[in-house]
Amino acid sequence: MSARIQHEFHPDADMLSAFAEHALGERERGEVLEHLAVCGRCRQVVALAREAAGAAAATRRHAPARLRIWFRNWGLALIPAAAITAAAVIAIYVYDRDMERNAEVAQVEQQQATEKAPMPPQATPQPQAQAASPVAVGPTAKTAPIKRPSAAPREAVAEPDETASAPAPEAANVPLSSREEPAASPAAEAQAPFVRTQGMIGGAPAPSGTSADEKTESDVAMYDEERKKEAEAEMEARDKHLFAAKATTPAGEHGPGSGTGESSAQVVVTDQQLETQPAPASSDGALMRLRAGAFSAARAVNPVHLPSGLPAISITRAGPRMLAIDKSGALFLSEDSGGTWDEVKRQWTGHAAVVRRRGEEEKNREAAASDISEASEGSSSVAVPHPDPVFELINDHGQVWVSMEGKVWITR
Amino acid sequence: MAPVESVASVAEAELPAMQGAIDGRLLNELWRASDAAAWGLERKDFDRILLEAGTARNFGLAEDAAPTQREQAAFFRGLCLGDLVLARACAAGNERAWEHFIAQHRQPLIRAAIAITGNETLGRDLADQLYAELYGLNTREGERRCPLLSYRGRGSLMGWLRTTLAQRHVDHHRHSRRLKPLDDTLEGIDPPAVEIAPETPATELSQLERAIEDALRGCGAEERYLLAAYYLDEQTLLQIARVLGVHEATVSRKLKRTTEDTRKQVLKNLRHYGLSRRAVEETLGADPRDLDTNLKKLLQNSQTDAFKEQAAP
Repeated sequence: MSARIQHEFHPDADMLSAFAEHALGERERGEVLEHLAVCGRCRQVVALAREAAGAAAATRRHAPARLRIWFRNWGLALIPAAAITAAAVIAIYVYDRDMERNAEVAQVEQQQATEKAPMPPQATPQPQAQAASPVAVGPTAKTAPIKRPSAAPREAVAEPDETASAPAPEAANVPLSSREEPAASPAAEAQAPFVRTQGMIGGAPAPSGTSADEKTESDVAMYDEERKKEAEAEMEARDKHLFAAKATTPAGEHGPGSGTGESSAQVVVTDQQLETQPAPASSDGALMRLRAGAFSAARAVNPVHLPSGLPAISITRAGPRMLAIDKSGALFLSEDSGGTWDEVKRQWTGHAAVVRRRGEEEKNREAAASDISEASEGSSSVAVPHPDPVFELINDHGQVWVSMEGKVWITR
Repeated sequence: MAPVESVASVAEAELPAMQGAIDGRLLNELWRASDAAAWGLERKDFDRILLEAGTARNFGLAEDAAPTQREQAAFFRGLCLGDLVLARACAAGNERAWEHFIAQHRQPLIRAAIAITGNETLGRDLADQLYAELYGLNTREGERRCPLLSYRGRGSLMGWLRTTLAQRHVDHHRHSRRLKPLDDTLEGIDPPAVEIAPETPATELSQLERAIEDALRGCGAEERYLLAAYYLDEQTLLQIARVLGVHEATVSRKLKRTTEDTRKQVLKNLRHYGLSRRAVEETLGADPRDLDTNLKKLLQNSQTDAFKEQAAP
């Protein structure tokens, strides 16, 4: 049989494809290979079929490979891209924080300017207008143009305050020695919270002749006792006031010491005013007295457990927000009435000694005066809402910092 | 319900299979495995298809060998049963089978045709032509003929389609080259050189031709295939490696060894014909153009008669 004739016989496509896919047994594979060795046509067919299969496989591999290549090509660029993204995020965060802080500072300054602004003439205290003075003065002051705090308005505003807090002796049934005393003496200023509180609840006043520098632990214990009594009496007075306002319960049910004048005098003392802190003092002795008073008040009313483990020497609160200074001078803030405490970043110099609500004395004085006038008129009193709290922090050198919410502090 | 016996358990039997029959349990197992019923094939058709596929190549054995049940089972396990029943269902005109075929193989068929022809237009034409044939548009003696009937599941259906496309393309190319005008063929050919008398004596040249023929005839099928694919078809090592399923480097080593062995065999043959060592070296240094040896003919002369079938219709 000649080669020419033999070329007419070829393995069919089934055999050739099976050969190309290596699906044949040894014997059949040898037969096909034998044919391929002498048949150019079948060699070409098998080669082309294999080429097409390889192209199809490459197409299938191409799609995932493209993804891998894209990712690989961007591998090095991802590092600077991630760094730029991180820098942008940090910059935005810092910018937002600065903006927030600036807004708070502006708010504090605005409030300072509002409080230091001269009182309008129509707000000049009158005995009849004192009941409405906290409400009447507030809006007027708020609508005043924003001014930078300066010494002149501060002095100017002190005068109306003094006059506003001047008591009307005939309207008060309780001792008002604390309201009458001048704020010039540091010693008297240091004793002011205790004296005022005692006056409000009708307790025995502290011996005025006793120097604060000579206070001992017994004094502190005595003040603690007084403070407890004060709190109890305050609760009773509040209950009585509530019942009196509803005119459903006789006043005598609430026990001794709950007279009409007392109860009406405490109506304006809301929860936000339970802790009263000493006023700032420039001398070290006064500061020590401030600390002692604040410490005893804090221990008596609200024993707190600060994260530092140290006892609190000064505590104040406004609603659920509480601020406390521990013995090391660290300031702590609680948003949930002392449940959890967060340390406030130090933004002041020296050693933090006292923290308190700003303008507390004046507000108390105004509130008490208005209560007295209301009581004298026999009208039911209503608790006056307070503006946003402003806290004050005093260091061991008597310097004062203020804050709206206790986190951001600016020097006064 | 009787327990189902697996193909593996059936394949344990060494009993010779009945002539022209397949074990019934094996057929049951294959029937369940092929999912032929989903394509509308009946059981008797399925059995007939398997029997035809097995007997066409004697279950992969030599023609005179009698297959055992194990060999039958091994043969059927090696088939692409899913593709086989799909192809037969398409050939039978099952619409669902055609939908599946189009979804699975239409686009790969076009891509394969483009890869084979190296031209998108030609590739699409080739694919469309084959697709029309597959759909049974051609008739022979009034009967609808579908090329899918020649598929027996030895390889994958897609591989069969690629090979069929390649056959169509090669046949068309060879046919068109054969019909090329003679003037065009001779255009790029240089004029014949002036005849120069060969330096090597004619006797030695004839002995050299004879020695080469003997050496090539002594080569195995794989060696001859390597020599033909590399030197005659000018295929690359990678192409040859893909066909043989080995690494490119392996093909390179085998090719080098085959060339050296062939040269040694030629030398040995020349020495065997009585030439001296020096004469042998001189003979091997003869100008190849002086030889009247057609290597293509030599390589194709050792054709076996294993394949007596026509190419796929």
